[in-house]
Amino acid sequence: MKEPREFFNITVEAKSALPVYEQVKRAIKLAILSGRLEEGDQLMSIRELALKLQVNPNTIIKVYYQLEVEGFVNSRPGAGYYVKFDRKKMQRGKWEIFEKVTGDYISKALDLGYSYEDIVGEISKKLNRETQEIGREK
Amino acid sequence: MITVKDLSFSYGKLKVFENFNLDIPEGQVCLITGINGVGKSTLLRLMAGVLRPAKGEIIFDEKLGDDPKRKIGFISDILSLYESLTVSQSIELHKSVYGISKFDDSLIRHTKIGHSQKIKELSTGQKTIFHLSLILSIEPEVLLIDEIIHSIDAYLRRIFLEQLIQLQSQRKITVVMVNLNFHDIEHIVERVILLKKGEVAVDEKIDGLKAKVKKIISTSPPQTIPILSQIDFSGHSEFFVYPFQEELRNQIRGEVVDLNLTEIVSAFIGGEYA
Amino acid sequence: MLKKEFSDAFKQFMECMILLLGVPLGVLFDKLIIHFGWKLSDIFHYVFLITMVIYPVVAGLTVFQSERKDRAFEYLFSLPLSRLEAVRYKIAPRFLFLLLLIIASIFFSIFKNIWINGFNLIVAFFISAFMSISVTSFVLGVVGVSFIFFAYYQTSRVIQLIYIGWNRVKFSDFSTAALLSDLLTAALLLFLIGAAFWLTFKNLDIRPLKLQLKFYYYIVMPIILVFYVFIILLFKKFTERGG
Repeated sequence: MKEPREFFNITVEAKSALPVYEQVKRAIKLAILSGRLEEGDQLMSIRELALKLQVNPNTIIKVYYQLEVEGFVNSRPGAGYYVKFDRKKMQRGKWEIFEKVTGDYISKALDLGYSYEDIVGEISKKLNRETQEIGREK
Repeated sequence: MITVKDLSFSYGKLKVFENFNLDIPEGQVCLITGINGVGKSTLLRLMAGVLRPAKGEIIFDEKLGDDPKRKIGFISDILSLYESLTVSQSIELHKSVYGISKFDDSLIRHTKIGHSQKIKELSTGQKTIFHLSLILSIEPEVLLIDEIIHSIDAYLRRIFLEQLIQLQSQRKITVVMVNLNFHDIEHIVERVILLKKGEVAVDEKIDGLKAKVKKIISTSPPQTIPILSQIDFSGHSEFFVYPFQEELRNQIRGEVVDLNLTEIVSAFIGGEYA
Repeated sequence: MLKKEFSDAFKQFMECMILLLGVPLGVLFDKLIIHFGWKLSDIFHYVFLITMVIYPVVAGLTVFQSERKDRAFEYLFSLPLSRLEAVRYKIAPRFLFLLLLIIASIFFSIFKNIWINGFNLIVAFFISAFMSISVTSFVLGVVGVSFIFFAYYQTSRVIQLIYIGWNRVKFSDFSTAALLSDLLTAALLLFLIGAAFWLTFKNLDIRPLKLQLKFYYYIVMPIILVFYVFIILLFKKFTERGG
C-alpha cells in the first residue's frame, strides 16, 4: 500500500503577470519534478481541481493538455490523467529550475550591492556547513 | 452563441444603446462591467428578453431552438419572484411554464429553505440560492447573472461559484456576468468587457488584460505608454498604463507592478471620473 | 402559469363573493327586517346585484396585482411566454369567473324580475383590465373606471336616442337600438383603451409604472374628454330639437 504522500497546495495569485493556467502548470510540474507526484499517480480530475482552485475548468483543461504535450502526463481516455516519468525530462526540468533559482539568487545578491567575491564566498561557507552537518549525522 | 446586432434601446428619453454590437461565443464566461448606470444590467435584460430592443436584435444560436428563453437562465439582484407564493408553489409554477418534469432541490435543502415557506419570508441569501435553483433546473445553455454575488455571504458565494464551475465542467455553458466586484470570480472569467457610454471601451481576454495593464510607480509619468489614470502621493505617483508591452519594461523608469482584476477595472474607470 | 392565474382569480372571486356571506348574518336580523316588510330573498338578490357590479371592476383592476405587489414583472418577462400569452393567461380565468356570475344572474332572473345587463358587466371588466396597469391606487382605479364606464354608457344612450329619434322607428326596436349602440360604443372605446394598454404593455420595462404611461395620456384622456363633450353637445342638440 502506498504511503500517504505529502499533499501539495497550489496557490493562484490574482496579482500576477503569469496567467492562471501558467501558474497551475508550474505548480504541478514542480510537484512532479520534486518527487511529490510519482510515476503513475493520477492527477485530480479537471472538475475537481477547478472546484478546488475556484477557477474556470477550461483553464485546467489547458493545463493538462499542455502538460501532456510537454510529456509530463499521459491521458487515458475516460480514466483521467496520469504522471509520466521520463528520466531525461525530469533531469532537464530539474536543471531548469536549478538554473532559475540560482539566477534569481545572484541577481538579488547583486541588487543588494554585494560583489562576485562576496557571493562565491557565501556559497562556499554555506556548502561547507552543509557538508559538516551531513558528516556529523553519519 | 449570443449575437447582439445593431441594438438600440432607450428608457424613455434616455438613450442607453445605439447600434450596439457584441458577439459572445459558445462556452465563454464573459464579464461585463463599467460604472453604475452605463447600461450593463440593461444589456443583460435585453439578452434575457425582459426588455425589448427598440431597434436591432439579439440572435441566439439555433441550438437554443425556436424559443431561446427556454434555455436561458436569468437572475438579477432584484430577485424578482412571486413573493406571495410558497417555495413549492413557486417551483410548480416554474416547472409548468418551462415544461420541465424534474427539479433538483439539493441546493434548497442545503440552505435549509422550507418548502412551505413564502418567498417573502426568505432571507436575501436564501432567495438568491432559491432563484439559482430555479434557473438551473431548466438546464440552461446560457446563464445571465446580474450582480447577485455581492448581496450574499461568503459561504453562499462559494456554493454559487461551485455550481458555475460544475456546470462549466459538464457542458459548454455560456455565462455572461455583470459584476462590480471581481475577487471571487476573477479566475472563472475568460473575457472582460468594459462599457462606457453605451459602447464597448475594452474587450480583452483576461490573461491579455493582465499582461497589458500595469501599475508604474515613479516620480514622472512614463512617456511610451498611454496612461489611464493615476494616483498621486507626496513623493511619487502610481500610473496605471495600458497597453503595456514586455519589450518596453527596460525603458521604464520606475517599478512595474502586476495588478488584479479589481485594480485593472478601477484604473479604467478612474479615468472616467477624473 | 395558468394554474396560478386561476387560483389568483379564484381568490379575487371569493373575496367579492364574501359579500354574499353577509346574507346568513342577515338572517340574524331577519326578525327586525320583517318589521319593515323586506324578504330574505330580496336582500340576497340586492347583495348579489351589488356583488355582480363590484366583481368585474375588482377583477379587472387587479389583473397585475401580484406582479405589482410582488415586484414580479421582471420574473414574468423572463419566462418563455410572449407578452400576449401573459395577458391571455391573466385575463382568461378572471373573465371565466365573470361569465359564471352572469350565467348565475340569468338563472336568478328567471325567478325574479331583476335583471342585470351582462354585456355592460363585460365592458366594465375590460375597461378595468385595460386600465389596470395605469392606476396605482385601487380607489383611484375605481373612480377612473367609473368615469370611463359612465362615458361609455351615456354615449351609448345618446346614440340610441339619436338613432330612434332620427329614424322614427317603432317602440319595439328600442332594445335592438340599445344593443347596437352599446356594441358600437363599447367596441370603439375598448379598442382605443385596449390599444393604449397593449402599446404600453408590450414594451413595458421594469421602471416604475407611472413613468411609462404616455399612451394612456395620449389616448385615454383625450378620448374620455371627447366622449363627454360628445354627450353634452348631442344631448343639448337633441333636446333642442324637442325629441
